[in-house]
Amino acid sequence: MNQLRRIIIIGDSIEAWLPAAYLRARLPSDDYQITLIETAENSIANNGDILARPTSKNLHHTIETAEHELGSKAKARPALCAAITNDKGATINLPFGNYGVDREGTEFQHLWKFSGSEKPLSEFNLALVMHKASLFIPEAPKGAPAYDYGYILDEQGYKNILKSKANAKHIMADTLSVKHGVHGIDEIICNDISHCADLYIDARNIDYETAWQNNHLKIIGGFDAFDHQSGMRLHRIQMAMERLFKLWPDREFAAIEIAEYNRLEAAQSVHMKDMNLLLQQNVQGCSDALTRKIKLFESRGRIAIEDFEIYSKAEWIAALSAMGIVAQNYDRLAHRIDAIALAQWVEQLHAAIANVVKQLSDRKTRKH
Amino acid sequence: MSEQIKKIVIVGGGTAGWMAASTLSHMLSGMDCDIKLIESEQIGTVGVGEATIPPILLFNEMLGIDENLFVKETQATFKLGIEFVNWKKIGHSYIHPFGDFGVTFDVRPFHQHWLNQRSKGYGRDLFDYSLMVQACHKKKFMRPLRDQPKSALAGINYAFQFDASLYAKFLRQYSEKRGVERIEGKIESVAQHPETGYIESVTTDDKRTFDADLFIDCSGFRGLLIEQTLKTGYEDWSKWLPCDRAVAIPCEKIAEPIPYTRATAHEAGWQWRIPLQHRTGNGHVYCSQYMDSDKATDILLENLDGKPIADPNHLRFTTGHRKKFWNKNVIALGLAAGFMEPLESTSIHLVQTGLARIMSHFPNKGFVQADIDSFNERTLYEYERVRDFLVLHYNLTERDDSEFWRYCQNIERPETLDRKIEQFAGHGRILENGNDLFGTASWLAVMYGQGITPKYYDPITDQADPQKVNAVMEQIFSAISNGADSMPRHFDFIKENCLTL
Repeated sequence: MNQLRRIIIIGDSIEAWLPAAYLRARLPSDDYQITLIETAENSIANNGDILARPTSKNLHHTIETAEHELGSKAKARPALCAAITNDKGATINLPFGNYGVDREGTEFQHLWKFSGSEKPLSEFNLALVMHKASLFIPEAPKGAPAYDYGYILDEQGYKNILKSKANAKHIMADTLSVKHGVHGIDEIICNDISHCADLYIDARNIDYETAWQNNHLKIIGGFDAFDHQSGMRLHRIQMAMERLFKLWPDREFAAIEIAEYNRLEAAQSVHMKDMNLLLQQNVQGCSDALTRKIKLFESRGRIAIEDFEIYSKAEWIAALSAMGIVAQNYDRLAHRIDAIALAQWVEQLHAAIANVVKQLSDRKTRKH
Repeated sequence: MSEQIKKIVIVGGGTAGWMAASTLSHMLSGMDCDIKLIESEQIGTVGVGEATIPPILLFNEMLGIDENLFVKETQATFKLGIEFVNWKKIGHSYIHPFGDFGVTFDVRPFHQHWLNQRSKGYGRDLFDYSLMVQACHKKKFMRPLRDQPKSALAGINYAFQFDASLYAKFLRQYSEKRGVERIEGKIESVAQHPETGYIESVTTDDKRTFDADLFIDCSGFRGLLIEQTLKTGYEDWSKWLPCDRAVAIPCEKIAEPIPYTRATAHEAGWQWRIPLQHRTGNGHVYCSQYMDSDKATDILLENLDGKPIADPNHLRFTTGHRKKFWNKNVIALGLAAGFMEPLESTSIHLVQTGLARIMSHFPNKGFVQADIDSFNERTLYEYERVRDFLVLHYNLTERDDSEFWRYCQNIERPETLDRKIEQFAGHGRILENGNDLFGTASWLAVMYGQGITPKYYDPITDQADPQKVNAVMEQIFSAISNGADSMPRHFDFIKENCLTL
């Protein structure tokens, strides 16, 4: 087999350093040469802080970065939701945790609606409630709505962590030109020296349409405010690397595998675009999947989960609700539970959540 | 929430009808919903769907059915996979097992390490690394040791082979205990709302009229409500799956039942063989363009294990599906919804998932179009994935001994299948979508079993030390082999736990 051994990554931000760290962890053998050419051209701006969604825990496990390291070197603070400010100035919180607790196979939003509770649905999301009160514990108490958490990281500190993990050959480029040929990139001239590789990962801020062509793979998008606030900036780099590793090519670069990569990338982009449109409260031009999602939610509060979905049901509920879409009805299976008993249980759950928050607040006050 | 569905009429008994009745009566218990099932003893049921796949366990669990009781009552046997004989070429066979090959290690699927080793001349066959295949060959069965997750026996995955008419009877008892009313009668006429076209009521041949808010059409191929009344239309998939006839006949059992179904390819179709406790179910699915019914029957009779115990039952079908599975206030299930030959035992499973979708899209009298569209899209997606998997068996054949097989070799594959095959043929990759019924192990078994040998293996597997990989694979093989040896014989397990008296 014509193994792919030499990888050049071009860029200067986490878009470049994360692939370097990830590939080093996945390809620890010295047979694989990873070179990072750092260039200030088409640089991606450092935003100060970056949101890592809960799924980043897998990434950090792969690159052997413990939570305390994120804390000490990248000033990691826990994040229970993605707080997104749209173009109209409204902030919408997409929670990393469930609304209430499902019972007997019925999702909580239906139970809540059937119970007739006057408490807002958002008050049954412990992640949202704690976020609002600036409180945090790593795990929900037993019986309370489950959640996970991500991190808010100092971008520069995080980049330094990735650099240390990458252990890549590092070249600072004063001048850089990329020579394209019939089969993708032929060579990179950096500081007047030619550099060749089997695979080029392009992490510069260039608006490419296709993610992977021949030996040229681009880290697409992730540069606007929405991507930044929603945690998609980091998430899409992570997804790109996981996809690449799953489809790891040889030097023949099989067209079918490149097509699969691009298909999955496109599917992911559609979900992101849809969520962005929804949060901007302007769904014109959205996909059929989002139209379906809206109609389904509107009719009975159901959330359709598509293939290769990125966002959780709770995030979609938060976004749809923020858009003012109200479920007209609920799943009839909620009726499997006696109405009076259900109403009591819903109130008890609300009280339990309030109690968790109170205890945490008291503890915080005492500590203070 | 006003306008609740208060009355449901299920049209047709049989497996689909009684599965619907049992599910609805269980899920809607205590919700003031009247459920009636109308069937006629004069109309026979097809009952070819006698073999199942592992998700049936979830169905039984959902209904709270005692498994041993269920096996006894339906003369069932256990099933660990399907053997495909003469599909790749005459004289060749392989088993599509329920469950994985080996175990994933070094962040790569097992089969990728196996492909790598194989390219270096390592000798063991892929199927040696399947516990279920080994158990099939040794006629062994037991339930998984779920409390010993590190044991090879924790990974046993199984389904059932049962008598479909007894299964319908079993579910009928279950449903009637939960308030479902069975109406004996043939439906003579159907009344629709003059403006909306929604079904308002059905009237039986003894002039009784039954109105309902929701109708479940389980009337079989004819689709009494979904097609004959609502003219929904049918999507014909014959160009991909050309078989259009079947002849079925049970025979006496001649030996202890084996824990797998057998599908044997013939000149213009294939024969199923489903061993039950009391008899063996058999049928010959064939393409009428290449074979007449007499010849198909002769082939079936020549290939029975025992003496026939009934007359041949001839069936006609067109592979495909209704253009809408849910149209107005009618939801079609089973053969009324569509038909795909039972090559991978998907008939009952499609009823099961259809019911799960009904419950997750359960309507009120308003019948929101978004719910209906979502139901139809998701059902179609599932049908298409099953179709792809079935086409795979026919298309990847080396057989050119008849017109039929030459046609099959040249079938224009659906794009989704083509992609799957090409991905496997390159680096042996099998990439799952989120909602696929058949997972990596199933695709691997059939693509490899039908003769695709990937050109390469996953390059990443070269990172591992080949000697260590070899040692790990030997350990896996030993664990599987010893595990299979330690299992009881299939029939002994039945005798011990769930023999029909």
